[in-house]
Amino acid sequence: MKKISVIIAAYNAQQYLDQTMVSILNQSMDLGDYEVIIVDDGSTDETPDILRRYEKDYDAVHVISKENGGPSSARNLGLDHASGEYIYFLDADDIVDTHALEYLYNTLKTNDADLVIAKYDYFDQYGTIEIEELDDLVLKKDINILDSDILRTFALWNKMFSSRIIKEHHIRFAPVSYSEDGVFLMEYIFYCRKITGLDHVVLHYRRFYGDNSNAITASISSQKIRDYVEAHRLIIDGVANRISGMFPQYDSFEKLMEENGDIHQYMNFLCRKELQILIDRFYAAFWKISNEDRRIIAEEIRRRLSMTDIDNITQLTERFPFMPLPTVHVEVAEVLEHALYTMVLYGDKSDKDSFLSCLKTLCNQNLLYYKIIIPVKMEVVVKEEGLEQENIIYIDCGTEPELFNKALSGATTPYIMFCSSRMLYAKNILRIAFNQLSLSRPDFAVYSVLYNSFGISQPTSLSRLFKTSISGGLRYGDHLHLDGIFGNKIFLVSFFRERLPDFDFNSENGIERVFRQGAYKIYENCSIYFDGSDDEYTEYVTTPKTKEYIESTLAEGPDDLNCQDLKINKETTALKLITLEKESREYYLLDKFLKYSKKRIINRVLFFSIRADNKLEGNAKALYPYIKGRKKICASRLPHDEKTVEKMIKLIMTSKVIITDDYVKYLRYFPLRPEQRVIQLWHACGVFKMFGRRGTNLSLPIDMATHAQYNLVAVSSDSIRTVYADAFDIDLKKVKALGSPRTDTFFDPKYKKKVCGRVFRAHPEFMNKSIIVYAPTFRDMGCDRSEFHPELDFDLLSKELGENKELIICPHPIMKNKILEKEYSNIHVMRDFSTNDYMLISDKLITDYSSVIFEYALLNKPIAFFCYDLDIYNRGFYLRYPDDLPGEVYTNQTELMSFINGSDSFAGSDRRELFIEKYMSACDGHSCERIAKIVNTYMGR
Amino acid sequence: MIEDSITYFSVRNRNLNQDLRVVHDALRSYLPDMNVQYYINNEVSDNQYITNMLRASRREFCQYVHHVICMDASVPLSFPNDDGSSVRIFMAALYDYLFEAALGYANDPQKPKKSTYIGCNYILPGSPFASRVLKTAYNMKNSDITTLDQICLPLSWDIAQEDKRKKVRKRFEYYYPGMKDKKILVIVLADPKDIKAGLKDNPLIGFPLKQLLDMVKDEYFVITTSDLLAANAANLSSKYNSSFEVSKNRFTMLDLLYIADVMVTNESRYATGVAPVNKPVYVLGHEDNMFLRYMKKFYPGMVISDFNDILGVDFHADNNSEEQKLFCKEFSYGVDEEPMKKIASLFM
Repeated sequence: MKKISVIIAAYNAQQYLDQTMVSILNQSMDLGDYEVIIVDDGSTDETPDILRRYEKDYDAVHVISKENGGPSSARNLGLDHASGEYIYFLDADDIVDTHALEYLYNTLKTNDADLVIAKYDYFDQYGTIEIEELDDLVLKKDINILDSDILRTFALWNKMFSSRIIKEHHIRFAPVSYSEDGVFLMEYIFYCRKITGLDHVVLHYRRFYGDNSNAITASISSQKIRDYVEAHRLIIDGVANRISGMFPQYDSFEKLMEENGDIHQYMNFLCRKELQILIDRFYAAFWKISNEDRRIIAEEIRRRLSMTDIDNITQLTERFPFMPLPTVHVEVAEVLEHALYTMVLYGDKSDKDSFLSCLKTLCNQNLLYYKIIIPVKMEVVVKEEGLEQENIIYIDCGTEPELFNKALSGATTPYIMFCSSRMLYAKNILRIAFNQLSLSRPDFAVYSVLYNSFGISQPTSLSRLFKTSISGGLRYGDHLHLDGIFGNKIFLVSFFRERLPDFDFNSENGIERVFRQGAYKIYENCSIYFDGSDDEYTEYVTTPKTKEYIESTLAEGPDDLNCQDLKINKETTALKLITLEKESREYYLLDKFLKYSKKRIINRVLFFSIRADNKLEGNAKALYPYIKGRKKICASRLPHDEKTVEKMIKLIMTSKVIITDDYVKYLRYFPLRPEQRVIQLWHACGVFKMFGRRGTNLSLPIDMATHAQYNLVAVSSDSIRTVYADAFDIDLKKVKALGSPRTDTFFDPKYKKKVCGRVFRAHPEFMNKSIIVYAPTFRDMGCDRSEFHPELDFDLLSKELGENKELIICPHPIMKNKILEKEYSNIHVMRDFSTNDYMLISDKLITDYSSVIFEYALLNKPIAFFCYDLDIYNRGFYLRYPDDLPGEVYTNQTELMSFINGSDSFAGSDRRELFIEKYMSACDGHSCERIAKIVNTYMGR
Repeated sequence: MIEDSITYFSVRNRNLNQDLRVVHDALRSYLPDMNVQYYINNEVSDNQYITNMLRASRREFCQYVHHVICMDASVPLSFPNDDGSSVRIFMAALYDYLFEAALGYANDPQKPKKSTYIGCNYILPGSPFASRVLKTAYNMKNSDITTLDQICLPLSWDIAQEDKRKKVRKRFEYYYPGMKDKKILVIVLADPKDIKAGLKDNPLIGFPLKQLLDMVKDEYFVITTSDLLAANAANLSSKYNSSFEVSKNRFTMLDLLYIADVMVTNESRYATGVAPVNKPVYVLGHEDNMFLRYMKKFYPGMVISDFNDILGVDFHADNNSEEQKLFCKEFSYGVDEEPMKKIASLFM
């Protein structure tokens, strides 16, 4: 008998199935101790082929094929074939931790339990999100069956079940397509003698990008609604029956609920869990479902509300404040009568596509209390597109101002939004706005407009400048031109009625009037996206009247550290700094800061680094010789002992200029003095992996505090300034395309010759050979960072390289293993010279996810991207693979050999030039001079 | 500096709060050509150095302000010297510091006076109490500060407007249909941060909420904003939903002043907030503050020290007690004269 049967239901799972299979077949538990039963639920993609391959290669894998019938029937079939002592359910797109089966099994055995509950986390292309809601539960050795923490997730993949119980009680998945796991779990749980916890993350749950977008409402069907309601009827009735059986002394379950506080809480938790999803996913999709479905949902909400207590209703009200619970409206007329928002959108046939794109986002709002007003001339188009829904109202009009005027005069809702077809409105904008507008009640709310660039959504330059231009106080002035549109605002209808009764959208000064008359508030956390580039947005907002002001505002400021643009804004900076609580481990830092904040500032430039001990690297090292006068290096790897901390704080608080190329944690807590300046050189060129607040492993407030006191950030090209401004959340004006100091040497023929000579003298065997440098970066997934095991057959590679080619592997400094198991005459792991030095003698570069490509691009030589693990690794890049790369992507050794042996496939194309222009245009061999001039001038040298 | 501009100040994270909004909206009608700007920041930080940085930022801003309307006592000291052309108004909402000053001077009449308001040239006390305290505890006489006596605060006037009260009540009734045809008993309590965070025990555990609801449910709808009080609502069945609600995200606390028929609170702002409309007030005595001390000294009959005593209150009474009548008189001037008209006239 096998110890464990792993059951996977797979339906059209080709995209991630390999990763799931690799993770379950590479467990720390011996493969002979468990079986993997995969039920192919009638897939129509390549899933059956992939599964057959695994079945052929692994004895432990058993594939069962059936007609499509949903996950319940697939898992039931898996259970019918399972022979293991324990059962583990896995989804076909998730990744199991290497030790999952071993730890789950051992925990069950050690504790003689029938169910073990462990931790899990989420991951997507941007990183991993820890789940803390089970933290307390998994620490318990003996979990009470009625512990409401068990209800926090019905998921099966963080649990392991006993086959004996499943067989004895013939527990099977109910024929429902939603919450079937909940029905199974809640039936199983009451047969358990003992439930135990395991404090280990056993599963990485894949979150799909767009989970919060329109996917959920789009996938709602009548059957799903009925299944959800039925599943919860089974769960709640089943639980009530089982609990009643545990307390025979009570005449009725109602009496038990009334008199037993724990049972009362447990049932309330269960009801609230159901209600939250009922409201959030189903009732919120009111305009997309039929009358009958609405009635079923409303009835279920009412039924469960009548079972819950005041505390529960209060919590639901807090989550859904826009809903007048306990009233649940079903009739369209009722909902429209109580609508909170009117969203007005103009369009005609000339901009049909953008009109429809925008309308789709309006139709998908996850709040039902709103109306959409559009021109009657678009009615046919809307119906053809299948967007018709009962909250769309058509008005006869010829122009946008006419539509807006008519919608405003007839508005019966408290709020109105004059939308723009150039914008896309996130599905939760009305919900978020409700909370903001209810409590602070401005006449109108202004939302930052975002655009997509470099793989992220970031505020447009005008929105960023608008927000910072008014920090400290809202003044009326030309800066209002930076926000001269209606499409990013939500207005109180009464504001127009009471204070601008003669308002006319035909007039040119409409925006100016609303700004002058209204009390407004600016928010950043609602997602309104412009459908074009940053420049196009600027063009969209600019009018002939505002052109001059906007152009002058967007122009780069002077390179003078005394100019206002480069000074920090006291108010925005102070609000970002971290307040050290008395209980905090770092509270003692405050005394040190205070002590040195009273010392005289010395006319000294401080080079601060955590990258190496007592020396500088990269950009800082390159710049250092160019700085005149008194200067000091303060470099120490983390963690810092108390003595180092004191020294660093002293130097930071008393140096006039601080130059760094990394995080300076000491800048998070204490304001510098007005005459001090901080210059960030950053340690990478271009933009590759997300950094700053977009790619931090710190909490967001701590990350933002770390970068809050920068006066100047030097970057390698003009086009990436917005990325740095966004990542550090600082003014665009403070980010300047001054170039990367360390690239200056790439423009110095003498230097290049010198380095090549040095390397060849040390390694004469490389002379007259074709040199291919392989510069991989480290991996985080599934192994220790210091280990690197590329998917390469080095024996074969060596053979194919022949006598005239040398492969030089330059490992990332963090990699400590040998990499090569034996010696080769033409493959070498080199750590004596820097990667940059070897790049200079090379003919080609192979890399994967390393920012060395930016420097190498300056050499205009072929680059290959050997990304055999792109699916797993591909997360958190500004660069889009493969579109933005200056070379081809190869995923296996055979493909890679075509690069090694072939000619430069990019020769003659302008891909590398365009790449340099986009990411490295400011690197011209004079970066050090430019940056040093700014610093030296400020220091009076 | 823009000569024809009014700056509204709020530095305690209140946004453009309701008091200032009432003035702002009215002055928009009375002074349509006047420019307006706001300084709205939260300057409250546990780190004194961050607070100092924010205050420095405010001082910089103040170099460019002309006319000013503010409510935070810390603001007037930021103003630069006036050349006589500006109007700088301070509105004295009844926060705890005024009760501290009142008690301080009651105990020690020789106490040195503070110069908090010398940056202003007008003060709107809004109540006989505030007028008395400001004149007693602060340097006013030797400066050019004019006290605008006999005029209520703008929010007090607004709260007393029947059409406004109806409008606000209608909004509440939409979300809480159980309110219809009932009087409203409002319980507003400041929940201290450390208790909310679970660092201290909840002092309101034991409040007889169920008994209170059972006692008043036919006549009153009870509404509260307090999480700590709501902890007593656990296990109350959904049938109480027609007579009780915890109001959090939909309305501001000051909105409750418009609908309260009876106010139970431990905060001066809310207790005195219903004085202009002569509604009965009861002060819960579970958390020590200057307002409570003042109440115990001068209005002991309105203080509920033992939670269970609330069950002894006669919520059916049609008239305020003598003490309550005196309280209303002390804490608000009459609402006959619209204060915004007076404020607007200062700028003309």
